[in-house]
Amino acid sequence: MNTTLDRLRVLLVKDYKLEPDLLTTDAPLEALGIDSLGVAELMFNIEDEFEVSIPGDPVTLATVGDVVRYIDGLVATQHPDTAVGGVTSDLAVPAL
Amino acid sequence: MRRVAVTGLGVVSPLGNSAAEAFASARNGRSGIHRLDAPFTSRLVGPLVASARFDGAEHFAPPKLRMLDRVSQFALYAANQAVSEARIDLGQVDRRRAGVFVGTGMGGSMSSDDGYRILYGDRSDRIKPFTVLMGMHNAPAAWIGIEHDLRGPNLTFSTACSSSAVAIGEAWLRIAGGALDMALAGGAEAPLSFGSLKAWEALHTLATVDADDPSASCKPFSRNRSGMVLGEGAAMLLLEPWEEAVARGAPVQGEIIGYGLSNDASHITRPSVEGQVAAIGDALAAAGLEPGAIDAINAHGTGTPANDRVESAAIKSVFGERAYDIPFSATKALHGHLLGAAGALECVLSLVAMQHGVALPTMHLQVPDPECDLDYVPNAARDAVVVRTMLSSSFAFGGANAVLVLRT
Repeated sequence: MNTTLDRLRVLLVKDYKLEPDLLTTDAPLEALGIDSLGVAELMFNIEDEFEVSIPGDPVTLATVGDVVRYIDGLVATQHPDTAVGGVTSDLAVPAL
Repeated sequence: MRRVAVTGLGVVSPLGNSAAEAFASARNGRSGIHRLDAPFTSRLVGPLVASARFDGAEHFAPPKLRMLDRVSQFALYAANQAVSEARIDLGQVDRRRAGVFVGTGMGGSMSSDDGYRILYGDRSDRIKPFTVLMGMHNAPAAWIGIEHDLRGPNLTFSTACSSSAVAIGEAWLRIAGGALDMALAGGAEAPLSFGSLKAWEALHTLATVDADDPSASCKPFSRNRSGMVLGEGAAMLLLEPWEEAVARGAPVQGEIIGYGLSNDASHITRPSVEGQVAAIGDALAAAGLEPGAIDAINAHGTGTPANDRVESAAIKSVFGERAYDIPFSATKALHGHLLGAAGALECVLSLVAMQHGVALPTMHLQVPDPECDLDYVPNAARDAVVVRTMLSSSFAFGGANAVLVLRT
């Protein structure tokens, strides 16, 4: 099963036409051209892809890894039986 | 007052994406109007548009593109082209004395339309976070200022169909008066969304489809004219003081020598002879010219019954018997009505036509109209004409009339 990072990468590659290799967990979102409004827009796609509901509370996400951890947190809370997670999977990412 | 040179032209239009391409299409009578092929076409009475062949993905990186309405994409592309053609070193320009003047009638209306579709059509609350920034009327001017680090006045003019003529005129005033040393001035419009096409259709101003040749559906000054066709694009001019342009060996394309502005103050859509005559008179006065000095005119020439009749009457009022001898071209038959970008595109076409000694044709003029009996250069360009000084007229819903005087 694909990790959270894999699935997030697919979303970012589709919307931002980014090189998948650039999308490491420590990559800063700003450096990828994704500012705070871009993150807000990304949340819609995350809701669809991960079947989660994004709470209204403000959240600060600075890196790709932050987003992965944020998603994993939501999935763990909202779908406790199916959560897979993906923060630690960076070393074993299948090619996109 | 200082003389003001035009040293760079930038164009995105239904007739091509440079001044040279657009001029060549206009000279050859090649229409950019066509039947619209879109999912909503069946809901339009007369599905006609004049679209630009322009894919933003070819010109902007994805993160930036996501923040640019089509109108800003056009404006940026045209502004960059004008800067590049002017061969100006912006590093030598005092940024505080460099301005941006953009006309647009509808701003980022495609983004607004998209947002409404999500809210009302899809019944979703996921309106894009960029919607406000993409939809605001001043976005095109703002992006140009950011791109080229221009820190003087960054102004947006929205006087409907005269917006970009006003933008060029206001920039001209500031450079001529010594307040600015450089300006990017023109207009941009991207009105081809379903919502805007339906709204224009409801106003009963759009042309019906010419069954034999849809590309000939806009017929200015022809008795069988039925209205205008909406077009999209942008045209930007780089303006600078004449002396400085000449001193740096700039590729001077022509000169803005006058600008007249008047308001009808009568009816929200119906044009007025009196208002148009006033704007033309003011433009001539600003240029220090008598009517006899005008060699040719680019008409507003929308192809609506009311405009063409009133505009012809206004020209007769200003020029008297000589009106019949002045080439009076309506290029909207080919590029459609670019609303807030129309005046700038027509200004560009006029400058290039003068350089080539050409009077551009009014195409699709099939049936003479007794009320429109001037020399519209019907259906074929006229070569080898001596044209040094032109008027370019733009009249608008709301009543703001703007006329530019151009010289090469």
